[in-house]
Amino acid sequence: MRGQGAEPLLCWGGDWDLPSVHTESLIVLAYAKFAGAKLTVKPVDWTWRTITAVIPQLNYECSSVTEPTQILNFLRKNRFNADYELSAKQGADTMAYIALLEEKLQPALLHTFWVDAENYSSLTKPWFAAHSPFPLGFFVPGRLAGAALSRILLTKAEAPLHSITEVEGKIYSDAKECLNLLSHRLGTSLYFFGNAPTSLDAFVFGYLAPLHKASLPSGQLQQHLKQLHNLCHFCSTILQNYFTEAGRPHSNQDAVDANLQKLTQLVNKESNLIEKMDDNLRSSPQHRLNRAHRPAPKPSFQTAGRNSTPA
Amino acid sequence: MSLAAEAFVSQIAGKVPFIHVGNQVVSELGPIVQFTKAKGHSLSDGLDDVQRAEMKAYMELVNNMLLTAELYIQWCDDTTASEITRQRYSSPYSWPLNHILAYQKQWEVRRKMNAIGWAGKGLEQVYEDVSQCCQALSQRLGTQPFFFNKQPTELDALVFGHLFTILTTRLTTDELSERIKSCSNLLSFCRRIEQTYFEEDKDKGRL
Repeated sequence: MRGQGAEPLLCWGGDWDLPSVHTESLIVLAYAKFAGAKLTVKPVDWTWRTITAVIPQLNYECSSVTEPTQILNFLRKNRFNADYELSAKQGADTMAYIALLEEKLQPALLHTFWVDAENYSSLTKPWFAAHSPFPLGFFVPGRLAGAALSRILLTKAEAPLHSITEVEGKIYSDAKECLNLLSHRLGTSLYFFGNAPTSLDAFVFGYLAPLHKASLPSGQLQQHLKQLHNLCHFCSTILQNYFTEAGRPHSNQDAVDANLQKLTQLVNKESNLIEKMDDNLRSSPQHRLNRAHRPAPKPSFQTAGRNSTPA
Repeated sequence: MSLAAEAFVSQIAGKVPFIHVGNQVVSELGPIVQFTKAKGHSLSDGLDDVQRAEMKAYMELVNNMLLTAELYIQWCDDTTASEITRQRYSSPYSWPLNHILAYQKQWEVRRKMNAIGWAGKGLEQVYEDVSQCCQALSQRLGTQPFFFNKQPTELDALVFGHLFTILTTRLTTDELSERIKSCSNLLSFCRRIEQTYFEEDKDKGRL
């Protein structure tokens, strides 16, 4: 991978204004944008890979890398390093905060999307079933839900002694606390470490964006997130800067359109002024006497108007 | 408390460590910290919000990396599990309970490792992860006496607990303790806490 050939990345497809609805895929996509790595995004939707592949998966040469941490390490080794500017202490902080996300936030996110009956039946299951080929749509959501539930139980409950209901309260209160901690840490900055996004920003974005954007019928965690305005703004900023219409060109186009609009308005103003002056001129007594000198002023005003706008 | 009685209580409470206060039994670090806080003793009151966020994050890092690595090495590495761990775990019980409980625990731990994706990791990778974690902690500690300035906090207690256990437990190889010893400030941190807080108690004859 010498950066030229865009390596294919298998991930789940996008919806809800997001490039992908799947947290781990989002993490990798965001990091690739931050580090400037060109990846060919291959959504696994409607293919048999929905059940055969471990997602996300980066294929290079003859082998593949899975799991966000491994993929990010791989990209870093190939010199796509968004953490280059970080000090050693900031690198340590990154590890710590990622651990916080995995331990405190992830169980509640898994519960919100895959275990909560209302959300699962009205949002998650239909989405994943619709994005899997027939007949996999009957198996894929169930399999993912089962994996999510067992992960929660094995890490947060003393399975098989406890059931999910006994740990629900705890995992949600942990998650809300985690969101508060993230909000405190972010403060009023644009990103977690200064003005350029790093791998921590990719992880936080991957975890928060689906929670922020999905239309969940039963979303106590989502309500909590919406109260933390700096985190919501963080997600929107990243989406706007890195993910609208393949990133930057769209914002350039916006700027061009805005300039064109301004130009048109000025030209209109100028031409209104000119007409007024023309009327004044026609109605003035001196003009009636000097009709021959009329056409001269117009072209120079118009060209002057055009030249003055680009500043 | 005799070893058997402790093991019995830990079965009820679910986990060690636990404290027994009056009628209540509180187990695990998190609840114990909250319990003592409710009684008016808290170590992290002096921290501001950002520092508290950092402290919680580093505590999770320790739980995520060190604790999981300890479990992995004890239970998923066949040599260690068969020679040391199973025997130690089952020592308070008589036959056949000792075998059953030991294998049940091993099965549980292996299921957990599967669920979080550590099953595919080799021992070398686990040692590498522990090294990275220690380096992160070492960076954070720097040259300070404790992780947050001059006062110890819950994070110091947690880190001390894990590192001291790793350094003093005999396993089949010394690889893990060597990795920790390579971070000299962590080693001196452990020694300092042991001397300051535990040697006094030894003098008083409690430990």
